[in-house]
Amino acid sequence: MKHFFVVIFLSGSLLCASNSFAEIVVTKVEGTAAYRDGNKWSPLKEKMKLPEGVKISTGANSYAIVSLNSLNHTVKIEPLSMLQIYSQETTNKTNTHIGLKRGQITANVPKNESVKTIFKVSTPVATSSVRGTEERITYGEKTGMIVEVLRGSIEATNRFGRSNVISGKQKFMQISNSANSRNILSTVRSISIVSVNGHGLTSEETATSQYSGGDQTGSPDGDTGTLFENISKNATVTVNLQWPW
Amino acid sequence: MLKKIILSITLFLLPLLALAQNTEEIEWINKLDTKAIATFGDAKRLFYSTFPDLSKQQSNTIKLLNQYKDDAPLKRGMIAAIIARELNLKGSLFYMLTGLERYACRACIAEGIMSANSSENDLISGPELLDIMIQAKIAKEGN
Repeated sequence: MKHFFVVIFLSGSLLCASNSFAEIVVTKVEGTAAYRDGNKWSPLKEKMKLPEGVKISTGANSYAIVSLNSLNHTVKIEPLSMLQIYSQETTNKTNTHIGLKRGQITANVPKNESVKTIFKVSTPVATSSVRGTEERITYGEKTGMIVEVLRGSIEATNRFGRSNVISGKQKFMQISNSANSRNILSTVRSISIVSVNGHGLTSEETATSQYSGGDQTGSPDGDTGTLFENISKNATVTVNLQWPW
Repeated sequence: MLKKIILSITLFLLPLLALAQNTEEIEWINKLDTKAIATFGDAKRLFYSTFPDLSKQQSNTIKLLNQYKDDAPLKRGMIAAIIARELNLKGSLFYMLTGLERYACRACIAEGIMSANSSENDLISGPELLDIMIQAKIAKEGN
């Protein structure tokens, strides 16, 4: 009988440990911010602990910063935003899911190799998954979802399962009535000196990759892409020999 | 004695009043988020709370904010004109020259504040107004 209770206690402890709610704490509030408390909105205050699945809304010219777990994953909620937070944490895993209804958030997820991190931000049109990075996400009814990466890289997937891995100055932009997101470099094109194509390639690199495929060194299994298909064509090569050197 | 009691009650109620104002704005914003058609008054209130400092400086913007009645249904051109004027958008030269809301709309579209597939005469819903104001704030702060 004694062993039975010990087993029950240990099983219960393991169950709790594998699916425990993380501590959601408000670290800073500037201006007007509130959380849904039953049927009414209550003001958000610093150091306030919030329940799992809490809805937060910010006013104009206001923001709030919320810590999502003990690993210092934070989210800054920009003006006129509304979101819902789910955050769970165990010793070796964190699982955070934010539903962004409108507005803009900046999520900061420091990289921790020893902890499996799942951090997702969903909007009605797409979802972004992040691990060890900082990202800014905006959603509005007409502008759709815009994901910018401030540090690291993220994967953004639209409702049709089409995904993009973005980093650097690339942006993921998905509007509600489109099956595909916009080109991830569409905002960079107007400010670059050379013409920019997909995957950050220049025109020359794109032209080269048409002959050699994505892998310009050849694959280990001998597949050289379209290189051999074009190998019999004539080409002019200019070589400058300098002697003595 | 009575004065002391009144003073104590006032001091006790002041923070409660402040908290009420706090959530009152949030409740108004979330109510606006459900409106099928926003009014010019909604846009005016949201604009003043989003850009509290700028609005005091630019008298032309204030003129625009008093151009229509508060209960008038909000059209895209009305809010575009206010934003183009207040934010001094790069593409708003034609609007400044002609005063036509059509060009203010174009300037807002070029800045990514408004979506391209609409005209200046389209009515704006509450969620759309919030979206426009969020984008205007981002454009102003250069994020």
